[in-house]
Amino acid sequence: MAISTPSSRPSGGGLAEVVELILDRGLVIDIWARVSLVGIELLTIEARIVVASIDTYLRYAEAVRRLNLEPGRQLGAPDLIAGTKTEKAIEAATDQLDEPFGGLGQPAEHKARRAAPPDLLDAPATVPKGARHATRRPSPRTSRPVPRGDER
Amino acid sequence: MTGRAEMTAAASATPQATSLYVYGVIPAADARGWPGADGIDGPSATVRTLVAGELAALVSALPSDRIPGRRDDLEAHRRVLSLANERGTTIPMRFGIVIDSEDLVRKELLVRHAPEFTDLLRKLDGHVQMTVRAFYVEDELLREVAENEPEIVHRTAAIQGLSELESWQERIELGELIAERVTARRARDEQALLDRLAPLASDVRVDPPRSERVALDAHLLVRRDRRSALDDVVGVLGSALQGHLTLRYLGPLPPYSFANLSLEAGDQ
Repeated sequence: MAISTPSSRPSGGGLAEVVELILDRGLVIDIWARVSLVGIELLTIEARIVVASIDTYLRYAEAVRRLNLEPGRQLGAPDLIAGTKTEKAIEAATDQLDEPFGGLGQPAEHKARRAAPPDLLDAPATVPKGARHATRRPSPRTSRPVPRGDER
Repeated sequence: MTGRAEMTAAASATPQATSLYVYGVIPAADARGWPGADGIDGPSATVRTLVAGELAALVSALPSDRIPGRRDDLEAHRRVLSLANERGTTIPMRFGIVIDSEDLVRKELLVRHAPEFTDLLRKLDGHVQMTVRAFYVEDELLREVAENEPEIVHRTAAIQGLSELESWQERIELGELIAERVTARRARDEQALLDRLAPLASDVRVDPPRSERVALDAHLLVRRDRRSALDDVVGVLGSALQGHLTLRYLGPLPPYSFANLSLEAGDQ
């Protein structure tokens, strides 16, 4: 895979990376606007993960069989993440959140967040009650969220 | 074709049946000094602004019988909106919106829906969309799920050396167990990443994974003055997760994921 170095510099994104957004998001007007999408829908074929199928089960079983599992290896993400380096890194990331949050008067939420388990992937940080975005996240399976202004 | 040409002529009174491709909507104040840009039909169709009240639409001429859908068309759409987004708050239209006349753009798009646009512009004001995607490195997800689950290790060992046919039932049961753990694991990773990113955003949209490599596909509506803080957090996460998850960080993008307003035309 071409993408390998972690970077904090965002990229503008090539067409391939934003094509779904262009085709599948953005404002839509009905009826009198000609939505000229001949053949375009094909590009947004839903490629969702379908796990509940025999084919998938067989594929997973075979993939794992080929992995040469080493149960004693201790190299999975939990170990990776729980390592000192990572712990510090996450801590640092959390500290950096202080600034914007301090200004917003949400210190309690912030403390709770910092106290969260450092092993990011093994145990997701506890979402403090009242965290602004904890409940905002739409279920991945629901259709697109209704923005303000649509209720009119 | 004849019917369509007649309709167009009635609406816009242009002899060669030209329609307008619509890219997006911006505040009228930002329309002043719009630099122009090549539109979807090339240099012959410069992108200009159509103002009505406090709003302006970004449009370019398009022959009525020309159907946008080529790669270059998508690229032009992306490029124009990217330029607009650099200049100020922009509501991006979905690709492929064509309206038959200037009059219709003004009356039916801008004037009729002024309240929705104004609301949305207020919400988006001073924000950009930053997209963060996280991909599992190769077989990391499977390996991790399997090695942390003695039951999977055990059952995997049991099918070693057996053909698919010989171990059909065992494989299905094993695969089902793996699938269940993979789904749970992915959801936890997604949430863990979101917990770190969402506090810096004013709003968040999460798309369902489009492949098994995807741990997270999140779109963050971020205030421009919080961008550098988000950059830092993404950078730190990227380093911490190296070898396990690869992060892809895109932006600033026009707020595609936060303009999912579907406007009804009403009776014309």
